[in-house]
Amino acid sequence: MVFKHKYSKIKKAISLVAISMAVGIPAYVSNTYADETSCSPFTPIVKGQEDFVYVWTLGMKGLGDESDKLVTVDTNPKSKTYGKVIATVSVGGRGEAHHMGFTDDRRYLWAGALDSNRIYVFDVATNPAKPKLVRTITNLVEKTGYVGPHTFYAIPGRMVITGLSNAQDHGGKTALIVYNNKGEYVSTHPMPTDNGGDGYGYDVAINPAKSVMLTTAFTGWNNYMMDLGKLINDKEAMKQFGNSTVMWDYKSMKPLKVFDTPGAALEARWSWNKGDNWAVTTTALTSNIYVYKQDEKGEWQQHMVGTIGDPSKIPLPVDISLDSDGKGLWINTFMDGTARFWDFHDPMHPKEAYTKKIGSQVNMVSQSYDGKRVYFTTSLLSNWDKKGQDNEQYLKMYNWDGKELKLGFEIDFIKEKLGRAHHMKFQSKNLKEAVPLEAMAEQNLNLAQK
Amino acid sequence: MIDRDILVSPLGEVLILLSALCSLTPVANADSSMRGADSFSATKVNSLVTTKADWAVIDKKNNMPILGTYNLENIFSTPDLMVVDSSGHKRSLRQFTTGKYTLLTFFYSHCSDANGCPLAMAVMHKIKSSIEQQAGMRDKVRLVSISFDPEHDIPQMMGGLEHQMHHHGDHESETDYVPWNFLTTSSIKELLPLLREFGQDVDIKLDPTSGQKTLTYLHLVKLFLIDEKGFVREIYTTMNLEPQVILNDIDTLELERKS
Repeated sequence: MVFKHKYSKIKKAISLVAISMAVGIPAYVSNTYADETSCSPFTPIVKGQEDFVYVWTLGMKGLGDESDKLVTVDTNPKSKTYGKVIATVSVGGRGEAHHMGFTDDRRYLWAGALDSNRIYVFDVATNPAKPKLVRTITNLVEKTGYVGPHTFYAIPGRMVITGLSNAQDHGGKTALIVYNNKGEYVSTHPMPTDNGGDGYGYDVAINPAKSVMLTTAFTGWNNYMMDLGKLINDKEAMKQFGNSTVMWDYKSMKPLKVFDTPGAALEARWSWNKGDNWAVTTTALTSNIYVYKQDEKGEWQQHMVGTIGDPSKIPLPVDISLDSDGKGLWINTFMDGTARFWDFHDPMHPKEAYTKKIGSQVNMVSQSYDGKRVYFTTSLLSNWDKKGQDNEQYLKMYNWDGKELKLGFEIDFIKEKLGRAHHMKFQSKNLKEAVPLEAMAEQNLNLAQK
Repeated sequence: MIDRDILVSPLGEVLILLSALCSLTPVANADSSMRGADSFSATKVNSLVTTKADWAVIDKKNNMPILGTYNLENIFSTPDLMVVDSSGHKRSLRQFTTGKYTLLTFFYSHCSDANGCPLAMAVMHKIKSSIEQQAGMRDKVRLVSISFDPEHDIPQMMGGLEHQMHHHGDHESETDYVPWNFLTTSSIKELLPLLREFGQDVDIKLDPTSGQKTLTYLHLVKLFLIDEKGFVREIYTTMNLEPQVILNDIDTLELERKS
């Protein structure tokens, strides 16, 4: 009798599941995109209050342990340690720490070093408050011949990595490189050197709905590891910057079209506003804003839509952060340490609406999904940061009401003996609401053993 | 073509102005002991770096690369781990991931998120129906669903789902069907290495008041396309779960096998 009752329950469940699987649910694709706007759209979104910001920090000679490190800062205003450093993971040595990216499940954070070519993988899911270094990938050059792992952009089960340079001549010729989430090499896709391509690379941003990706271009190891003062006095070296951007077919990972984009286009972002169909980048050396949009024939076109500051004074636009609705763009200019908010309601005619000096130098900017909190850090490259008193190194969080930035908290990375504050990534995970199956199984095992 | 000389003028100004803005004092470089760029043979590096980019060939109507103009990379090899089939027998997973093109997903029968398991299943069902219309392909493809809830998704349950999904549709003979295997595991302990190998994340939702586990498993939908040798060649999530793209990829594998 008991068996019969159980069987009848199973039969009913089977029918319900089978119906929903077979006929009841339309096959459509979700339009939910990830943000904190630099994240890959394949990565789950953090829409609410971020609990932590991870800062990938360059070690400084004579400061603390002198090593590159991942710094975890508590960003939840309800927490007792709000605005404080709550964890650091040193990787031992300095390799020019630069950018980071989450895997497609947001469980691991990959962080690259432009000089050592090492890629560090941190577990940020088991205990997001205390990231753990779980893997170091050291075979990038051996497998690909390219150096300078820059952007880490998740695609399903894999990570797309942009190189900045190559081991042949340490110039700007480079490639897109793919590793799987286990840290195993998968493939290399060289930047085009024909049809207008100059082979340079920097950032990548994918638009899955259009199955395209946009790449930008910077400079090779010879330049990014050179002292900035020396570099700018070397006329030949100053010619070795990327002057192109490339639209790729995402599925085949092959280039579709090269654009003439003088002056080293850096960060690339797609607008995730529903119905939008454009991407944006800015050029470091020529201070221009470019928008990429399809024309009536479906052909991708590049449009120069604005100029940042006074290009004759070389403000050096660096990081950007696009609002999740695509209506505003933060642009940092390194030389004058200024954050600039551009109104992007009309992306073809954006206008600068607000500026604020953040410090003597400012590089990275990251905003929360709702745009109400904006975070800034300072370091550009260890040999390009300003010297002496102007070498401020900080993390500053501001509240943004659409009119004014008001300081929430700041951490002096020199005073805290941490180093040069560079790339930021948010994390939000409440272990009281959900736990990884693996952690739950271990917990149960421990309880059983006790 | 891009003219490098375009930069001469603005960069001339950059030189002068940045000189004024920056100190010329050199700072310490990164530790040379950590530098990896110079430690490999020049011959190997040269051969790797001189490879040229191929250009995309797109079918503009479908916004997809034309069949035969792109490859699917080997992403990883499927593991040789044990699963439990719908009859309750322990079997090697490799029996379900080699010999045919396999579309594999993880699911649990209590999943009620329309953008979760049911979405993946609906796409798989669409693929199944489409392949069953192609006489030359239907014996080359299989579908596999593995539960990550072995406690509730017992073999009896899997058998029922298998029967219903396998025979869904109107066909003249048994060979007209693309097989759909529903698998489970004997325990969470047996399941975990499987999830780890496939990179399938799963969180258990906890009751906010009691802190006890619920029957909700939070996870990203992933559909794995596996070739006949057992290599994962593509992974689809809700962002790229398009039946036409998947069918094109299966044809790409078939084209590769024939060549």
